[in-house]
Amino acid sequence: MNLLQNSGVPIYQQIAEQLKADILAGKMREGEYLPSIRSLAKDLKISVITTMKAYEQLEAEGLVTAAQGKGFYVNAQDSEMLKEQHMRRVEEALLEAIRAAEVAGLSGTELQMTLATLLNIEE
Amino acid sequence: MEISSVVKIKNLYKKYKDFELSVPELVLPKGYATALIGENGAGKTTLLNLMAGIRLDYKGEISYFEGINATEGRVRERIGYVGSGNYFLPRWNAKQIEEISEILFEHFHRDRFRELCEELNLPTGFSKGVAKLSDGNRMKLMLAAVLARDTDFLILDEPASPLDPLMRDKLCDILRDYLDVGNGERSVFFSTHNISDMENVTDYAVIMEHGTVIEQGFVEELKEKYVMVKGEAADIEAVKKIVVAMNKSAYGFEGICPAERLDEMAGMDISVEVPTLSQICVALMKANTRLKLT
Repeated sequence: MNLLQNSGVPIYQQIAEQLKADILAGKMREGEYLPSIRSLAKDLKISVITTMKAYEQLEAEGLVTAAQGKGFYVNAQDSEMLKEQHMRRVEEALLEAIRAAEVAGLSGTELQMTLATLLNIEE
Repeated sequence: MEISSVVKIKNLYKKYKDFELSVPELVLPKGYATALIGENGAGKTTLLNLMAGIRLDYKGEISYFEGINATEGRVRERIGYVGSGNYFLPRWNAKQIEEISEILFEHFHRDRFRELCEELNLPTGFSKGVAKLSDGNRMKLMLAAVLARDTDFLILDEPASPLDPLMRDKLCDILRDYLDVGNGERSVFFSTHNISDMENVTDYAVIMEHGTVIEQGFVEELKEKYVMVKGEAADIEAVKKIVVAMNKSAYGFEGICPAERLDEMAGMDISVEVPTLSQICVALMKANTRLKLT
């Protein structure tokens, strides 16, 4: 996990984002327990309350559930919701590209061509 | 989140000739590390000494582990204390410290003590006595002695101050490890002036001034309660009444402001950041100090 001290994004949010990406990518499976808040704090060299806050955020987003005295486990990921989440990420990234294109003075057609070229290279 | 307490203090009062400690209520969360922060003379050591049972001449109540009174002997076995005073007699050597600790405490592990001394690179079997050790080594020795016991709560008075940067980093590791092994049952309470060095092991912060607690809370909550604001010199007069404290110059200002009052700066050219714990503490201390600041 890469945590940046001076990125302006709070550490707990960075942890939550990275765990979220792992869960959505299926790297962490349904029912699997996240590391305990204190062992994660130890591994990441951060305070316990920061990991606690990250887990609470994941819980609020419905990705994990807190089991009294046992920790946090990964929820079943509803495939529709999962698709939705993935879709939202794609849209966000594309919106950013559109804004960058505006700054660069690229036309819509040029932007589409750039995307097509990049898709070709990736394939 | 539901949190139980490791210590509860009620109406704690202690008077010296020119100093008064008065803490109406203080509850420390169980399973976390709490930092005690404040100016020189704010009453940190007095509070820790009363909690550790070094002084018993006070008014009020201190109870541990959900209801065990401080005067009950069995509570001492579960608490480890490290302070800046002469905890060990000056002439004691390593062997004598081992022996005395075994007599004093039921759960002192000689093997673990030796392992820790080695891990912390203490001069092995020093024979000349504690007084001959450097301040840093004496702190490491006290930490080793206290960590060689089975405890549920550590009270540490300025543990970081005499330590070098590498050893401070190690101290943070030690404390996180202590909490991890305890799995929610162990807690730590330490005073410090080195907030930045200790921030990554601080879950809850208690800030003291003039013998009383002026602010407390989980660090992540304090970082939402206060914001760091930076802006133009032209707005200094208007901002003065809103911020807790600020630094100003001909070029502009930066200050800590309660997040709920950010609205009052609407229309000003400001930028807002999440403050560090250190910045919050310094601002609160500045707002309450009797130091003559310019």
